Amino acid sequence: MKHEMKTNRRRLVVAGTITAALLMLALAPLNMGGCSASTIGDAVGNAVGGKQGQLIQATGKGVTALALSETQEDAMGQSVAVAITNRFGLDPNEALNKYVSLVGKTVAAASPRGDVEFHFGVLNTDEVNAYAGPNGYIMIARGALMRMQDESELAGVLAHEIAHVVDQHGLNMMKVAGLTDAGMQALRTNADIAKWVNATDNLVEKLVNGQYSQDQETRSDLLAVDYLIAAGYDPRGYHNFIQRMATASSSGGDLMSTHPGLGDRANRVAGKINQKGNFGGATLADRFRKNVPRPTA
Amino acid sequence: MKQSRGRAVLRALFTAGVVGIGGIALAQAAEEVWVKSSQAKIWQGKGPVGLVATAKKGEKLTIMAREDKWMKVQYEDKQGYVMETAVSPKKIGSGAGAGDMLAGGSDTSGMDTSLAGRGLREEAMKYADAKNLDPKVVEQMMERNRAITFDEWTAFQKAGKVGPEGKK
Repeated sequence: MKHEMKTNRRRLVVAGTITAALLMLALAPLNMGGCSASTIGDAVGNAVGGKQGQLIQATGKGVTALALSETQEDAMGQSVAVAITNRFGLDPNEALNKYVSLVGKTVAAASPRGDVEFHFGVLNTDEVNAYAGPNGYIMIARGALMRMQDESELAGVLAHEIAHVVDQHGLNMMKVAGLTDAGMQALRTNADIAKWVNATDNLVEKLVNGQYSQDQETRSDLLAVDYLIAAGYDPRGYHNFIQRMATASSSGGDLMSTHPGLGDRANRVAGKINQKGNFGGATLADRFRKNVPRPTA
Repeated sequence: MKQSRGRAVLRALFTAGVVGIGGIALAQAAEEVWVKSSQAKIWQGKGPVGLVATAKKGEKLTIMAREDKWMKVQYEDKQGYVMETAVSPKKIGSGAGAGDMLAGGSDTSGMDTSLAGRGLREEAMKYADAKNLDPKVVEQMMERNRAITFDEWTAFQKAGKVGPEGKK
């Protein structure tokens, strides 16, 4: 009896010691965790912040940070889209529009702004062009689709436009055109809609007349290759399309008139693809043909 | 009898210790981040299709997993994916902060950002009105894009072996 009591008491002491040790073990990481999580978090936060800062500011030579907030950038994108869709109209083929959106969203997800709600539409015109409004309003002309041979070519053109959005080239084009920080701030107050209308019209005309700088076009071409590879598309499709348009232009056509220097651009894209050493990826010609009906003669 | 009671006490104490560790470990795993831009869109998957919710600047999200440049998060009673660039490990207030300052200051449009992106914004509507243009064309384009479900997009990616779902 006495022996049993001693045994039980010893077991209780042992159990108490184990529990205390376990609690100490448990509590120790809690304190350390608060400290270490914060430290690691800071490092991640700085890296992320830096990356975002670069995205906001890496928009061309001599151009500083933008003066529009995110919602104002979205409003500008919508205003540009209002102007361009009214100018050309939207293609009534819903299945075609949906297909282009599915391809576009797949490429956009591979970009650094994969969480932006990109909107894609097909313009009801036989022009060969594509337009990108700020914050992800991308419109491609049906005429461009008619000159493509597979989905990787479509993905390539959309990737190029997505890169313009990622780098905020449209908004920076407004700044380069002389819209000052003060002017941008005035837009933000929305006190004078006439200023907003004027700024939108200015941007739309520049987009329609292809006034991106050579640097912006080059950068968008090179970023497009990155996005295509990340999304799993064959980047050579994009090169093939630009090369085809360059050949057509040199033979007297007026293709991709808002994207000059197509031959040089095709060479630069080819150089980037060679540098990446990526010669694979999806082309999806059958799916493209199924979804992009050719006009009957 | 006494011996078995002692064993029961021992077992209970041991269990309490293990449960304690487990609970604290779970609490430790629940890393929190705060929305640093004016809003963060939370998506059904790793891409801009299937909007689950829109968290406002300064709101807290709980990280459930990290996948590439995305975080799977819990926001209120919803779960979804947010890009890591939209959040900060540091607590952020709902006013103007670093993210907005980089973009030129906080919003003054007076719009409810939780509704942002649902329709045309005030400035775009005013632009259309001033230019006598039809805003419905863009609204139709936006509606067509929003009508695409996450399941549709996933199936599209898998069929073509492209995108975050198709490359898995």
